[in-house]
Amino acid sequence: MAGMKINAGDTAWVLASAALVMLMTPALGFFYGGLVRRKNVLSTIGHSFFILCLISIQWVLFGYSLAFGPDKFHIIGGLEWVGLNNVGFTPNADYAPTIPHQAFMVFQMMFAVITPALITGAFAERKRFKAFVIFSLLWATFVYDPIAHWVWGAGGWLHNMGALDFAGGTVVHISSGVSALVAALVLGRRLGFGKAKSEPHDATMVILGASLLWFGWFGFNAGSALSAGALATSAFVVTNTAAAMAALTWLTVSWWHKRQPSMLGAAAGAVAGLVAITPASGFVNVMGAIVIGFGAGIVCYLAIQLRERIHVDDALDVWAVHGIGGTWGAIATGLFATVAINSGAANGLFYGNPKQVLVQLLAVGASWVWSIVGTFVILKVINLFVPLRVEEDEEVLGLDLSQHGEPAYALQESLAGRN
Amino acid sequence: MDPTTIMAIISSVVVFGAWLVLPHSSVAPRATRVELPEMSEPTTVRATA
Repeated sequence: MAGMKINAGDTAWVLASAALVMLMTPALGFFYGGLVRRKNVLSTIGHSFFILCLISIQWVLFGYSLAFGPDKFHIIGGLEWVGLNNVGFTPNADYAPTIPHQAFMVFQMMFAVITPALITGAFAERKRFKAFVIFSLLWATFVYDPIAHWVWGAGGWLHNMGALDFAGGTVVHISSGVSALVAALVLGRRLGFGKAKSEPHDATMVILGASLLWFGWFGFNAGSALSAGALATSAFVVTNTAAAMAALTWLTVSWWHKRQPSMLGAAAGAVAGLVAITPASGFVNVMGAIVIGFGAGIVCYLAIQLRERIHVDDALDVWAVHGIGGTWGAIATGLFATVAINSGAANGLFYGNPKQVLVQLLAVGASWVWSIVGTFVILKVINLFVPLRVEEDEEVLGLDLSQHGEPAYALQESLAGRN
Repeated sequence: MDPTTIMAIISSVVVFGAWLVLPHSSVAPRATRVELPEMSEPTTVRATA
């Protein structure tokens, strides 16, 4: 414990960052909520809000212990920290030596919260609420917590191999994006998919949600420095740069492809850029961030075209933006990382260390495989007890009324003579 | 100049340069005509002394 003194500035920054990351989950709800049809908006926003509550409890009970607790076989954390036992205010040297251990814990909690919330975009407008509740709890426990331990936990096998993931390209975005694809395939397409285009019911809500996500992402990435200093500043700058470049690129590609510059595309592009810079944000310089943002705008846009071509109903394109964006970001970290930014890390391919790309590819592959297998098994097991989808008439009515008995917009109901 | 900087410059030139050749505008395929409601009789505002 010698030398571990709580730093007030670091603690303030990490706690403020935790609050910023917390805001991302309801922001995600608005981003997704604007993209769905009017009859499902409350349900969609509610998914994110519910997960904020659910995982907050799961994390303090046992989630944090599984992800960050004392290592067991390099695969999972032990149960020594269940109920935050031994997680107090003394800094933990393995994770953050200048802030209270509980500050680190609550910062990580917000990552655990938003990750399953990201998946909800894939099964929007058709998943039964009860099945969603059970899925979210099991997925956080059996998919998120192990991957978090592999990459970030002291003793985790990918951590030991030197995989670089500053703020969650593999842990958050690949895991959720790939799981979203599996969920979309297992649940099947929405009624009428491919026959009538499902237009976003409120594009302004989408832009607002994306903007708030961008704002919160400063906590996500710059907060992951776990200190208030040069590294946090660098992460902040590259985060903003990559988001902006990806938004510009996506808008330009859509302009070329569809003959009009899409504003919703710019919002999706910004999110794709934020996703891609996430694993790299503590390792690359601002020029690297421009290239990463540029690549994210292109590969994620192409992934959506592929998803549409193979008729997979990942309703809000979680796989294309988070799965593919996270994969690009994780690989790009192995290309553009430089010790000039983070002396405690490693150089990437363009700075003389090609081996880092191989390590990154291994981390990507492991995250893909575990997410696919874990999500598939969890969904199939739940389906034995609780149907994953709502009934057809419930889907036609909309989840707001069929699952919650609450319309999103009282004015609309009132005008229709239903209120 | 290191390769990362060169790639960043090329990326920026590609994006910014594309705007020079992309169409100014086109017929909006999804544009919907908004029917304005009929105007009601103008309200007479009586000036009070």
